[in-house]
Amino acid sequence: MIELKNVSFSYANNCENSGLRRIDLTVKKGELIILAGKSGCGKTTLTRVLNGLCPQFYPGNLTGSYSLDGQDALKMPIHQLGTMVGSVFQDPRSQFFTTNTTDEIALGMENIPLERAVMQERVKAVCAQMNIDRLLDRRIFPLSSGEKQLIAIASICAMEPKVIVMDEPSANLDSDAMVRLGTLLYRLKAAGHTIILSEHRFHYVRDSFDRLVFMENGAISAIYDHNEALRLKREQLAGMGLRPFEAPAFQVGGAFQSKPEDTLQVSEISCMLDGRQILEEVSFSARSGKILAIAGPNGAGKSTLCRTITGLYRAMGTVQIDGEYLKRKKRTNHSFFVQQDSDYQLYAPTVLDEFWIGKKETPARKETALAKLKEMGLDAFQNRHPASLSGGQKQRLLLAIAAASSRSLLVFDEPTSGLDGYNMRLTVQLFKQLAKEGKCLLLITHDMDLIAEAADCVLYLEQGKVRYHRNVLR
Amino acid sequence: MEKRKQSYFRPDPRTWLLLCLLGIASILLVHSEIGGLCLFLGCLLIHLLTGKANKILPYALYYLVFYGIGWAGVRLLDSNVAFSVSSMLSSIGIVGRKILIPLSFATALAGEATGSLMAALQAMRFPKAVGIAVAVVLRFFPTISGEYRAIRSSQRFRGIGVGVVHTLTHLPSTVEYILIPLILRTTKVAEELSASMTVRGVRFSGETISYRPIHFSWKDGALCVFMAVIAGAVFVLEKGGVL
Repeated sequence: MIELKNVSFSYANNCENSGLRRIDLTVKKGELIILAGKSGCGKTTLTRVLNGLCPQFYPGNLTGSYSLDGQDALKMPIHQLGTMVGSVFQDPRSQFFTTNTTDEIALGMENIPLERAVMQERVKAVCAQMNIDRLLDRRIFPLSSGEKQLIAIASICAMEPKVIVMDEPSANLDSDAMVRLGTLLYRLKAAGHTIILSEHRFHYVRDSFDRLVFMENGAISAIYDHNEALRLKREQLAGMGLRPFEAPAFQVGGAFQSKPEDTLQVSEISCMLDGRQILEEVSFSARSGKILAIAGPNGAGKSTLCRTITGLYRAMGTVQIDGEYLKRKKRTNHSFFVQQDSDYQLYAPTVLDEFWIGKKETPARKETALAKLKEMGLDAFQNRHPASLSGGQKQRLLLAIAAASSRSLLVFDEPTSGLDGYNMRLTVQLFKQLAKEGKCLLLITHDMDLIAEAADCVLYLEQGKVRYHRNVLR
Repeated sequence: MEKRKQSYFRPDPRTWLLLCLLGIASILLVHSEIGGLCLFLGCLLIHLLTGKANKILPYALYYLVFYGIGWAGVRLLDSNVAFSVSSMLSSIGIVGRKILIPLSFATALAGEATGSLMAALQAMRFPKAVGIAVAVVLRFFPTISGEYRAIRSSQRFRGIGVGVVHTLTHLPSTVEYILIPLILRTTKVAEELSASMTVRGVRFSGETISYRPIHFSWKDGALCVFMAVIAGAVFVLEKGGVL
């Protein structure tokens, strides 16, 4: 189905250094291939070559040959290639074109174009298969990142392209949605679709993938078949900067016992947004020196809960931080919320300046900032512009700023979404260090690897209510 | 509740577009206070007939606010306070009241599903690029406001632009700290959105079939005629010196 021969690509503007070097890859019809490797190894660029975005959308120099279903793909116009190669991108927030979920799912089919009756049938079928009927005919903007990602996947699957290229589709999905995605990919593969999956998390396709393509510095370093890949030991995978194939082994034990001295005490929080009840009488507490993971299905109200606690949203109920009942604005001064996307959280001209933005530069602040940068392994970048850092480095810089903020409550929204195994483990170490320093950490996450390695307890939300709050057993 | 919603007539997107154009034409032709009020009442009636009764109170309030601003401007003119301020206020009051009419129709148009909107524009023989441009504009403003809110939320934890006084006393730096991430994010979102649209064939200029059927019924026509008749009648009465 796909034949790449000696393909090399370099971006014209040279802004992105993750080009490709001498890629030779043949993929048969109905194969499911995982592209793996550390962030910046060229996985995304390879997916862009496959769907024609490189060089037709992202200009650059492409050499070698690319044959798709026996045709020269490099000579095909991108819209024609798009009907053969469906693409799901990494960031669900920036890949939808319409304002309504049903329109978004139908968009690709309208442009093929398919008959209206066929489109209606496919929309129905794909939604039933992915269990997302509840998301039909809704406004896209208020949906959670995971729900948006499900819509993006449904939109591509409804087109039924011969090849499906997905760039980290599971990054924002909850466990159930991930299992359903795994099942969907298995069915698509069985129906003869060729699937190229650029991923950091493998366990949901553990049984269905055919080969693992490991990339380093823009080149393919190794190709493992299914059995060879599963035989790779945990330590080997860690050395390659990858996550394990097995779903993380951890159990939740007894209920978390609240104590009056807990740093954070949340009582009967209820919140309505867009005319929907998002949270209903949520009560829990969290302790300093501990890491609490807030988990639950997409759209369960996890982010809303943390936004309420940190004073970004108005809601019913009370919040106590450090033993003090605090009004909404005061809660913002006592907490630090690191959101999912680092691009809109960094403002200063240099990495070091980020530490005293909105404040005065003092020798004490400078000393603290330098110490934190050293702890996070960023001291070499102190004079760089924050925008020039990689995703993982930006994430660590925000961790350093949060640590230096002297706030007792630190909240992180999906801190390891899109991080490879190496950066994920590094982030876990830094979280543990912050907890050791006496901070109370809340992590909104779907990442089971993160929960297994970092969390002391789990607060599980479902439909805006607390289902359980338990300690993690190791 | 659902049944009640469905009992209202749901206009075709082309109706909103035509009403918007009629609204623009009418506010350019009608100049009197009473005439403007008649047009506004006609506009409210159309929203009422199309099941948008919940919009009537906010629009009426906006109208009153703009009326108040205009009135304040005129009062200031009488009291010989700074001419530029008073004329600015009265202009805002007049333009604000007038613009509410086409703006309310444009808002209704924006509320239509993007697919229907593009299909409607295609049915009106507009080039596909026009449909894409309209859809991108509809998609762009909520995106920008979402990004802006995210930036402002993050800034609160960094002590930037907290409260009105702090924002005003540090206005240049606050604006800089908003604009830089906003531009970075907007550029990134625009690029990724464009890539996503491209691979799904949105830019393909050939035949497309819309998922949603669209139908311009006699009721749609009646609404447009109703608006045209009101505008025409007010214009004639105004020219005849009655209004």
